[in-house]
Amino acid sequence: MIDWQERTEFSVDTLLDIERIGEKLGQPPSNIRRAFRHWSEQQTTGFVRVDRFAFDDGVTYVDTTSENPLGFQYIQYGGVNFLQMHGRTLGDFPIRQCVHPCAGEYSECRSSNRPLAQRIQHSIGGFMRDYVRLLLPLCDGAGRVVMLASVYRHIEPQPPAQSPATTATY
Amino acid sequence: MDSTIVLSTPNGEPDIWRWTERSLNELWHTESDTVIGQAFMTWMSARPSDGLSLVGPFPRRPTFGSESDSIQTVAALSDFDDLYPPPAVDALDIDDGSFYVDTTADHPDDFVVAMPYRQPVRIRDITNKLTRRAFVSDFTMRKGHARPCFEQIEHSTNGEKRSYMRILLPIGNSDGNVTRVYAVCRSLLGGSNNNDVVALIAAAAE
Repeated sequence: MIDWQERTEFSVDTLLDIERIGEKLGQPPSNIRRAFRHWSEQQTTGFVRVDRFAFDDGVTYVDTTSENPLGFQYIQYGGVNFLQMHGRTLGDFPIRQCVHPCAGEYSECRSSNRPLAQRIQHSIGGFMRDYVRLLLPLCDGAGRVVMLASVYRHIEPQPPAQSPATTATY
Repeated sequence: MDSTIVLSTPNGEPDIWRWTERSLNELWHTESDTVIGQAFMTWMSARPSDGLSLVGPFPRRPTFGSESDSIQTVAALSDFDDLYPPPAVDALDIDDGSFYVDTTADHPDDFVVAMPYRQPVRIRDITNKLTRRAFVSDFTMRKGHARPCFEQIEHSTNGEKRSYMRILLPIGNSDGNVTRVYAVCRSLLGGSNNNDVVALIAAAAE
């Protein structure tokens, strides 16, 4: 099987609309919606100070004070796999194919000081993942982005449609 | 490995950038008589073998060696990463079929794209968002990993489509740091050089 990945960026509003579907079905607000709401509430003069953002539900914090994106450090790693990344840098991440796009995405979020919403699908080394992710920029007192909060939600795979042959009784 | 980035745009048609990794072994067979193969051979011949000193001058248009030589050379590449400094800054001359990115700045937004017959531009001044992001990813990686990268690139930005083979060749200073990365491209949409690719990058910066 050939490794592949597809990373589709859309507006934050679109992502929040997607995340709202669960609420309409009676589920609690998704962690992405709650994180964005908290981030928005902390916004004062065009940015959110890192010391005013307190959200800890499956979130990854990335220190972006290094000029070189490969030196961005995972202060807290909220992923399911690669838990050893806690305290290590993007350049240390063991899957180079993930480092390449993340360098651009993290850097873009830092430079623009704007949230970045994506759906990320990949199959690397036989592992398939499908998730939506929201990057939220966090600033120091001078408005410089020094941290990113990365919040994500896995998309549950849909059960395969059953063909008549498999559902038939004999 | 296929990597695709899709960005929605205000005009409704998304911008798309796709990288398809190719092995250097494939390059040996498919690019031996193209500008990519020639550039790769120049880079290889300029690479210091002892890991201590830099070399130059070197031949502009070296020819490929025998098949056995090529196998040994490609095999040596597997040991290259982080073991030897990249070739010296003057290893390659820019011409119509290539551009380079000066990676001496710490911040990738401040990397400078130098194109033939055009004013250099900083990556932060490239107005197309997807082109800018792709450049940050590509040249940050090459700065951090001083090894060649051979890919098929397809992208559609601002309604303009491009498809080409590309090799990125890192060049270093006396400290072994990557200070410049050459991008040598061969269009797959007709034409023998990458003038259309360079023009597209220039347009994205205007």
